[in-house]
Amino acid sequence: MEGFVNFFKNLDRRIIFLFIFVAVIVTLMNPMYLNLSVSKNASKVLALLDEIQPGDPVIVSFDYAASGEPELKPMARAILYRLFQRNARVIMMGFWDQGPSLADTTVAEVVKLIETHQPGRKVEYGKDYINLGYKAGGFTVIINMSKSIKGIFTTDKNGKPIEEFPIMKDVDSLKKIKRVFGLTGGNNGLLDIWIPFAMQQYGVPLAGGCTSVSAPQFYQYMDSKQLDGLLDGFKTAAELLKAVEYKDPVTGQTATLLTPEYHRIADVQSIVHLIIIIFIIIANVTYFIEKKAAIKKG
Amino acid sequence: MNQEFIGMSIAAILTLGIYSFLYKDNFFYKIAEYLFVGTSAGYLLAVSYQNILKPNVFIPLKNGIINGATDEFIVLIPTALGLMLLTMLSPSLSVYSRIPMSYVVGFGAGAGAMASIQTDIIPQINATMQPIFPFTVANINNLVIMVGVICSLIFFFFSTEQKGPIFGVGSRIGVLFLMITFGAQFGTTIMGRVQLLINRCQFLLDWAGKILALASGK
Repeated sequence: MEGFVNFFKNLDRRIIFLFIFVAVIVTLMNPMYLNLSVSKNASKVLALLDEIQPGDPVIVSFDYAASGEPELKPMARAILYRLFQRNARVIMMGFWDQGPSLADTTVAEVVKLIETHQPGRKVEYGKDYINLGYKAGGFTVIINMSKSIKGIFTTDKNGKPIEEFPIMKDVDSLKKIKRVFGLTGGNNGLLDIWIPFAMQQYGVPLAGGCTSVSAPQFYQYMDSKQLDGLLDGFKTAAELLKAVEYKDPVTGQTATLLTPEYHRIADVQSIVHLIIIIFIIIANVTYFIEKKAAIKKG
Repeated sequence: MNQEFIGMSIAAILTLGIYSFLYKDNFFYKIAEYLFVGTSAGYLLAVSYQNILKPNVFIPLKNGIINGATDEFIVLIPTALGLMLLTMLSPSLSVYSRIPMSYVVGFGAGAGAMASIQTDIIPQINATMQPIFPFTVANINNLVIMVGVICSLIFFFFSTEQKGPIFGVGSRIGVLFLMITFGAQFGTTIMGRVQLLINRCQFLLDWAGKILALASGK
């Protein structure tokens, strides 16, 4: 028993890193496609997306940087896809400098996807969606948007006057926005700008997604109904991708946005979590054995 | 070899450089780290110029000078305040930075205090005060929230010794709730970090696949 305790007590942490790394690589190369059920949180966000009517203006705020993309991009894909399915007017912006550039890449992929899934459909920039770009100033931007969106965002991300775009024709204040979906990678987003100012001051309905690291900070706003829906990390993002359905134009069958690539990532999450749980149990057992031995020795 | 592959290779080598720190601190890690700091600073400078200085200062001033739109010169006031902040760098002139700083602090505190009361205090207290009778599943949940809030507050009540049936038991229950919270935070942190690792591993596998394809001449 002493040997067991000493082995795990003095285990080089690099061995644990190696275990995790090997588990990730092996599972990525040999996916199992474990069952993924759609949780209450993902279903709630889907229901909120389905409340959007054709022509409704919706803001999707990309408040994250490249480090948040692995968790937040799948959410953005699912949200944008559903909004385009429902023919909403999508207005993208960001309180993080990299956010709108990441939005450009994501929306291009989603537009391509929807045009493939709906042959003959054309999703146009300026008519169906627009990228207003990054705006510094945090909550002061929201205060200004409540008076005039065109006043604070005079041009789109590429510098073209906002008046030129038909999508913004009758959208001149935050009050005209049907709902905001905030995707946030930390501070400067949902938590300290959209909830306290857009929702609390101006009553704009709010939902969104966050990285799993920051998720515990958001649950309280769900309880207090300040946030209508929340995707908390990759798991719920994958669930939403599974919940968003479309009719495959080739086979004519119903398919989902959960591609094998994303399903594989969900598998890896499960396997790695299992390994970490095993290590935590071993560490705790080691701790209790050691404690018991110390008591015995007096 | 196209541009995309070259970009991908640079990203893959830098990723491996960063992960090499897990073995031990080394030269390749330092290069990757310094490159990240340098490019981030450069990127932020360019973004600040394009998104803040150019539209809010230079374009209005240009309009004012060329088109005679005199009302545009109002941007000189915030610009002057912004420049005064830079006097912080000089000990003899730093007193002038207090004027814009007092404006920033005053405005931020005023708006922030109001938002904090309206967002975090009143609605959160309201969400805690939920019915606990009759004993339905939903009401039991409300009871757990109520007990958790009260006991956690008792744990942070330092004005009296935490002994006896109220402060002693209450603070011990409070510790349990706090431990569950920290456990949940630890769990979600692992989930987030693992997701980043998976993303990078997926990228490295894609890169390795491209190299193999190039080597086999496909």
